[in-house]
This record gives sequence, structure tokens and C-alpha cells, in this order.
Amino acid sequence: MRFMLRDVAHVRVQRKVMLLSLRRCLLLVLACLPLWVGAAADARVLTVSVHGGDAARVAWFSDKLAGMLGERIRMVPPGGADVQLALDAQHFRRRCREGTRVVGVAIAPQQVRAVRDDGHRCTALFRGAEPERQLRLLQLLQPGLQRVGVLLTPDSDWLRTYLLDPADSGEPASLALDFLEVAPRKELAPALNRLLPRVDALLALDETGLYGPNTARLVLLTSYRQRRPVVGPNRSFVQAGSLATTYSGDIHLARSLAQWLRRLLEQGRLPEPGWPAHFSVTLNEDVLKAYDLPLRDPQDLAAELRDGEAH
Amino acid sequence: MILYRWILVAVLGGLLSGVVHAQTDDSEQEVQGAMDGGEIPRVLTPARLDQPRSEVPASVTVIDREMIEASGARELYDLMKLVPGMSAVKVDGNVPTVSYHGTMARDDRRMLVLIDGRSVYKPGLARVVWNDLPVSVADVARIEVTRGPNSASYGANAFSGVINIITRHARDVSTTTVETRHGNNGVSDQRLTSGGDRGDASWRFTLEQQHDHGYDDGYDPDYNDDQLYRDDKTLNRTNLRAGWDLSPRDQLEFFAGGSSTSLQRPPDDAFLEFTRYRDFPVQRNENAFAQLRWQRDFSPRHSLKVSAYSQYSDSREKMDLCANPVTPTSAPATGAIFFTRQMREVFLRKGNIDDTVAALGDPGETALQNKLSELDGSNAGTFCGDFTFDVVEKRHDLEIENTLHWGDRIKLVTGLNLRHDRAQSETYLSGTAENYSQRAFGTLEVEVADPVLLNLGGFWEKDDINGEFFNPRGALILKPAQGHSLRAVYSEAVRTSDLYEAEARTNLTADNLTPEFEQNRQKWLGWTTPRFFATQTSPGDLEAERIESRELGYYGRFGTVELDVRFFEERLRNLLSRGVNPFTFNAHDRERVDLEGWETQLSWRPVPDHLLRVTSSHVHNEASINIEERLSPRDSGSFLWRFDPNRRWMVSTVYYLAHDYNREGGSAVPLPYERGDLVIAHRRDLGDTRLRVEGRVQQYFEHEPVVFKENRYADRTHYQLSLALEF
Repeated sequence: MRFMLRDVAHVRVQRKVMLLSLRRCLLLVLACLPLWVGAAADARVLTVSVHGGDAARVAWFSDKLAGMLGERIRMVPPGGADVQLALDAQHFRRRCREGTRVVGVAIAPQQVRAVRDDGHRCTALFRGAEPERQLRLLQLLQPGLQRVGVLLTPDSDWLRTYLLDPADSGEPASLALDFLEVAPRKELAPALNRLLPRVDALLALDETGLYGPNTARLVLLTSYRQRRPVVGPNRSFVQAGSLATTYSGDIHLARSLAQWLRRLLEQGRLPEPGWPAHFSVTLNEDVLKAYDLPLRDPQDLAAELRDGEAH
Repeated sequence: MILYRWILVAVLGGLLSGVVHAQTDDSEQEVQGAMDGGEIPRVLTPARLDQPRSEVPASVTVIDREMIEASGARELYDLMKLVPGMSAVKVDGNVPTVSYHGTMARDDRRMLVLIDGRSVYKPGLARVVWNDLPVSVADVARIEVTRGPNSASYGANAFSGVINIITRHARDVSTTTVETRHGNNGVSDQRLTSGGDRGDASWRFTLEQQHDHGYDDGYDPDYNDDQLYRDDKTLNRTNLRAGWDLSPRDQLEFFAGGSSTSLQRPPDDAFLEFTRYRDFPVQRNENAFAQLRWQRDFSPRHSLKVSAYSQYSDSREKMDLCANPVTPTSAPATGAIFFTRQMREVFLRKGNIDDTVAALGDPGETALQNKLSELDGSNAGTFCGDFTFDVVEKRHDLEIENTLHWGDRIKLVTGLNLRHDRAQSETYLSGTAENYSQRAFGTLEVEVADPVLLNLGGFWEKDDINGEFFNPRGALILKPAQGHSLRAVYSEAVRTSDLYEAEARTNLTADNLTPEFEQNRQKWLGWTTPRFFATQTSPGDLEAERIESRELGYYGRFGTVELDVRFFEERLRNLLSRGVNPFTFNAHDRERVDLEGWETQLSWRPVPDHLLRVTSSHVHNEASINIEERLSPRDSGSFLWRFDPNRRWMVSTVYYLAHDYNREGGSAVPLPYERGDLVIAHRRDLGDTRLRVEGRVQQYFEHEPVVFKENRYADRTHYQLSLALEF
């Protein structure tokens, strides 16, 4: 099916070539060069190896990717593969230092950034939920929302660049983001007490220093006492009492990896580090109800978010 | 009795079935956690989450910290003006009255006020003393006001409504703040608040002192003092809250606090008929409480709460009086006749003050005439002494409450309560009165169909002086969508007799007499314990005041708009409206009040920096006696606007209107109340210390006094400046 589409495109190009001047033809040839390169790359089989994690998980990813990409990839044992997939941060760092083409899978953004800051050009699917997506999820759940608080640590402060404050866009401010930087754990309680009174909800980014098993009780009880819902950062938190989150499980990661590998086959390069494009939504119905928020179908919410990202 | 047995069966059944569910849910949770691979236990479980606002079977007003800050209020009662239909003014000098739908101005005894679940409704002389509440405005996290009777949830005296003050959790205060506030009208406040935590324990405490001059304009040109209303007040209070997370399922909290207040009081008109004041009265109140609360989550859908508290209050108002001679030409000592045994005996026969005083000119009252002649011919001099209105009130309360969810559609709250009230007063009781009460309560919420909720509640109680009562409530809630609800509510409530009303035996005893009378009490006064001649005794077996309420309401949220509308019809019956004080005690003639009207509250945040809030109320009060209409304005409302241009600045204005007070009462003209406040606050970080400067201007737009003619301000513009350092 994909080849048929490409053939149709090719015919259209030929028709246009006839109508264009030579100069334009040259430009067009240059413009189409990546397509030929992609076609050349398409013709060969990509070798992929998976590292890190337990054997079962490695096998699961290998099977899934082979199933999704068919004969376009060949899973090979570690060493000598075109692309190495690293399922944990340790392998991601090690493989990156070796200088091979590495894709980290569910690696914390801070760890990816640290490796890239060392000069390694590895890429990775970030662990956790995309901040912008979480924010839009919060808006879908609570349309009247206007002030959202975000806690950041010195390590995660750069994540704020992924959240464009609408107030900075020059458009009328319908939603204001309130960032507060905090040293993890010890200063968390004062920071919550300072931030929560001036916002309507807390957007919890995937930051283990702030949102982990040791702090969940503090964060969720403090925010609920002040009637400020929390969104994110992950499924465990939602089960514990956060309102909702988007998340990318292994199946979403596998789909996103397949998409990236296709892009490599077609365009000859991998995307820059980022969050998986595939995700689901999970809600805590009890908490939604307590805040008097309408119950929504998680699949509808995910579809709505995907539509928003497509545009 | 069959009904009561059913309640007990339901209560016990709820407790037992909950334990069974606890075991089942435990295993489910572990399996669920393992399946998800999560290591975080459930924190916000259904048992720990509150009922959504749209499912509450009543009209509720919530005042949160954002509104508290915007209001600039320095006293708790002042915040109640933001509640539609609520009268909240200082009607008796420095003593505020807060009353939903008004009715009587002075006797604040038809509303229940809770602080962290502890009732501060005084058992001895039924009332809520707002000055004595041991909570600073800065300690309040949220106030939830249920508008309408709620005895089905809280028992007797949740009559016209319930004010639930929730203080800031110990974990929500993690800094130390010192604040000072000064302004005209003698305002001088100081506060220290500090909080911290160590591991699973956390604490916060506050020390606060407040002072002001109250109403400061002359009101009585005939009175030869400095013509100022004597209503200065000084309040000292402390509040402590500490918490321990004993385990992920167990929370233990300890609350303690106290207050001491000193209130200047005006001369009592009733005494001025017989005496003059040698020194002006001062009322001194002392209060203390301690409370322990333990909550255990047996499972995400089952929790148990046990609460125990004791509280103590001691109120004394000392009056230094000298008796006026019977006639201007009589000897000074004749004033002592009002404190003789002979005058008391006449009063006991006549039954009222006027007839007793008239007996002073009746030659037939031989003993009285002889005593009067004896005093008239003596050189004993003027009779002076100290008289103290005293009452000590104590309460011990133990409550167990069980909350159980069956699936997503049924919730059952059941509980038992034991309470012991004791009042000791020479003035009001001539001794001590006690009351033991036992209570059982339950509320069942059932989602009978997808958009329809049924809420049934009942509260049974039995006490030594009032007997047995059962207060029911039924509500049908239609939810066309989440966050929107239409409700129809029927509820009943009672206000039971307090210890004074039930067992009054008043005696105003004189102490510290002038030397001649002190040394010869028996000779001049006829008894060794001289008392004012008038005394009152309760007939006992008083019937409770009753209210029936019917309500249609709507609650909804549209984006940034939140709206609540209430239409109500309330029938108050068997009201004890006439005087039950040491001078007159009329508990037989009962009154009625019919209230009808509507209320709205709307809040809107059009853009993130601005918050608008409007309340309005229209109440038609038809009472069988004027006194029940005094604090019931026909139209009232408030408007609040808060603007936060950035994190450093906050500007807010609040406008209050009540049209009119004392419309049909003792005032010659209706007394409107119109006030506007402006608050400007600035915050600045000074290293690790945060500075907050706040200015507040309060403008009374009316020249008229507040509710009563005495309540006048010399300057209708009040301003205050506060400075707070947080570190």
C-alpha cells in the first residue's frame, strides 16, 4: 500500500516536471533528493538490537518491532546493529558513549539531556508524559481552568521550555502558568504551601525528586486539602489520587519506536529526543467526582488530544 | 421507638459490615497495586474524599483562603457577611451576632458553629460567642456554611444553619509569620504563627492579640459619662494543631487552644432603674479546649473516625453598683431596700418587678414598710456592692463515625455520640446543672437511577432535660450533568432548651459591700447573703423550638462560572422570643416566624487575574412578634472583586449591603447597612524572608447606626495597615 502511494506521487511529479522550467527542474531534483535517498535506504534491511531491562522485556520489544515493521528490520544480537535500542538509562549512557546510533526508550529527559550535553548525539523517547499534553488534558477535564502551578527542581527547570505560557504568546491570557523552583523533598512542603493558594490546579511533571512514593502522600493530601486537583505525573499517581494523566506504556513505546525506525528507513535520520507520540489516558473517577468534574471516556480524551496535536 | 431501634440496627450494621468489607478490599488493593506495578498506595480514597458539591443535599457557601485574603477581615464573624442571607454584625456593642435569616438580634442561639468538628455552641446559655473562638482568621483554611436546617446531620441546634470552620492543617503551615496591624478606631493587633514538621509529625500554632475601640460615637446625651459606648475589646487567643501519620492508614490529630477576652460593657438599662454604676462593668471570658481525633482507613471504601474533646469556658461580668434612694428625698440608705429579704418576699408573691416596686408605696406591705422606714431613718449611708454575672460551662464529647461505600452508588455514614454538659453559675442557676445526652445518626446516599440521587438522613438523640428527638431530612437530587444539580430538600430541626432555660434560678448576689452593710448584713438587709430582689425560676419541661424547611435549589458550574440558587420556605414554631433573663422570664408565650425568599451566589473568574463574586438574598419575614424581625433585612448582598496583577500585588474591593435592619423593631426608622472595603497588599522577597504589607480602608456609607441606636462610629472611614514577615 505504501509503495502504491509512492508510485502515484511519482507520476504526479513527472507531470509537473514537464510544465516547469529547467531551473525549477533543478530545484525540484534537489528537493526530491531525500526521497531517492529514502528509497535507497528503504531498499535495505535495518538491523536492530535491544539492550537493557530483563530478558522478557527485551524479547517483547524485539517481537513487537519485528511484527510492526515486517521484513524491513532484522533483530540481531547486541553488537554491530544499525540501531541499538536501550531500555534503561544505564545501557543508554553506555551505548551512547560507544558512539553507535542509539535510541533510548523511556529515559528520563534529564538523563538524555546530560548525555547529549556530553557531546553524544543519541536520541531517545522520553520517559513520562509530555508536559504540554498533560496541560491540554487538564484543560479538557476542567475547561474553566485558568491558573496552573508547576513545581520544578533545578534539574528539571529546563522543562519549562516545553510549556509555552499562553501569557507569553501575546494572545489574551486565558490560562496562566505559575512556575516555582524548589529543592527536592526537604523544601517540597513549603513550596506546595506557597504555590497551591495562587493556582487552580497542579501540573505534576515526571520528576522523581518531587513526585515519588515518598512524597505522594504529602502532595496529594496537601493539594486535596486546598482543593487543588493534581494532574500527572504517571499512572501510579493517578491510582493514588491524582486526577488523570496521559501515559505511554510499552505498547505505546513500541509503536512510537516503529514510527521512528520507519522514519530512519525513509528519511535516513532519527528524530530528536522527545516524548512518544502514542499514548493513552487514565483517569481517577473517584477524584474527578469529588471535584465535581464530568467523567469522560479516556479513549475519547486521548483521541481529542491526538487531534489537537495533529493540527 | 420502632424507628429508633431501626436506627440503632443500621448504625451497628454499618459498623460491622464495614469491617467485613475492610478485609475484602485489603486483598483487592494489594492485587491491584501489584498489577499496576505501582509502589504508591492509594491516598485519596473514596472514604477520604468529600461529597461533590453538586451532591450535597443543601445550599452550601464555601469561603476559602483566597476570599478570606480578599476580604481583609480581621475577625471571623466579618467573613460571614459573604454568605447570602447571613446577618453578621456587632449588634450588641463589641459582641457580634451571626444569624442566618436574622430573626432575633441579640440571642445568637439558632445556629450551630463547628471548628474542626467541635461544637462551640455553649451548653449553659445557648449561644455562640464569636469573640471567644480560639481561632485566628489566619488559621482558617476554609469555612463551609450549610444554609438551612441540618439537625439530621449534626443534631439539635443545627437549627437555621451550620457554620463549619476548618482550620489549616499542620502540614499546610511550614513557616513562621509575625504580623502587626494598626489603624484608627484603636485597632492594634499582633500575631505569631509558626509551623513545622519532623518525619510523620507536623504542628502549627498561633498566638494572637487583638484590640479595638468598637463603636466610638456618643449615643446617649442624657448619660453623664464621656458619652462613649463602652465597647472596647481585647482578645487574646492561641490555637495549636498537631498531626501524626501513625501509618498510611491511621492519622492522629491533636487540637488545643484557648482565649481570654476582656470586653468593656455598657451600663445595663435594667439596673439603671435602681442603681448607678460606681465603676463600669467589664466582662472577662476565659476558654480552653483539647481535642483528639483518630481516623483509620480500613479500606479505600471504609473509614472510621473517633473524636473526643473537652472544652471549658468561664465568663464573668462584674458590676460595681450603688443603690439609688427610693425617692430623691429619701435617705441614701433606702436604696438598700432593693437588696433586702423583705423585698424578695414581696417579689415572690407579686411575681414581677413593677408590682413589687409599687409595693414600696403600699402601707399594707407591713414588713417592707418597716424595713424601708428603718433604712430611711438610719445613717448607714449608700448601699454599694459588687455584683457578678458568672457562668462556667464544660463539655465532654465522644463521637464515633463510620463511613462506608458500597460500590459507586451507595454511601452510608453512621455514628454514635455521647456528651456531657455542665454549667455552674450562681447568677443564672444558683448552683450547677448537668445534662447527659446520647445520640445516633445516619445518612444514606443512593444513586437510584443514573441522574437521580436520594439522600436520607436522620439524627436521634435523647438527653436528660429535653427527652427524645428525631430529626429527619430527605433530599432528591437530579443531576443532568456532572457539576450541575437540581435539588429538592425537606428537613426538620430543633433547638432544645439550654441548661439555663431548663433550670434557671437566678440570683444577683452582692459582695464587697460598703462597711456598714458589710458588718451588719442581717440587721440592715434581713439576710446574710444579700441579693437583688428580683429572681427568676424556670418552670422546666420547656418545649424545643422547631423549624421545618422546604427548599428547591440549583448548583452548577459553567466553565469559570459557579452558581448556586436557593428558593426556600421555612416555618419556625414554638419560638422562645420573650425575655428569659434575671429580670423577666417568659417561657410560656411562644412565637412563630415564617420565612420565604431566594438567595443566589455567583462567582466568576473571567481571566486568571480577576475574581468576581456576587451574593444576593431576598427574605420575607412574617413574625408574630417584632423582636423576631430585627436582624432580618429584606434584601441583602455582597460584591467582591479581587485582582492579582502579579505575584507581588493584590487589590480587592468588597461591598456589603443590608436593606434594612430593625425594620419593624425598636428603631424609629429602618437602619440600612452599607459598607465598602478596599484592600491593597504587596509582597516582596527579602532573601529568605517574605514581607507582606497590607492596607485596608473600610467605608461605612450610611450615617445610620448599626441595628441599634447605640452602634455609631464617630468616623465612618476606618483604615488599617498591617506588616507581616514570613520566614
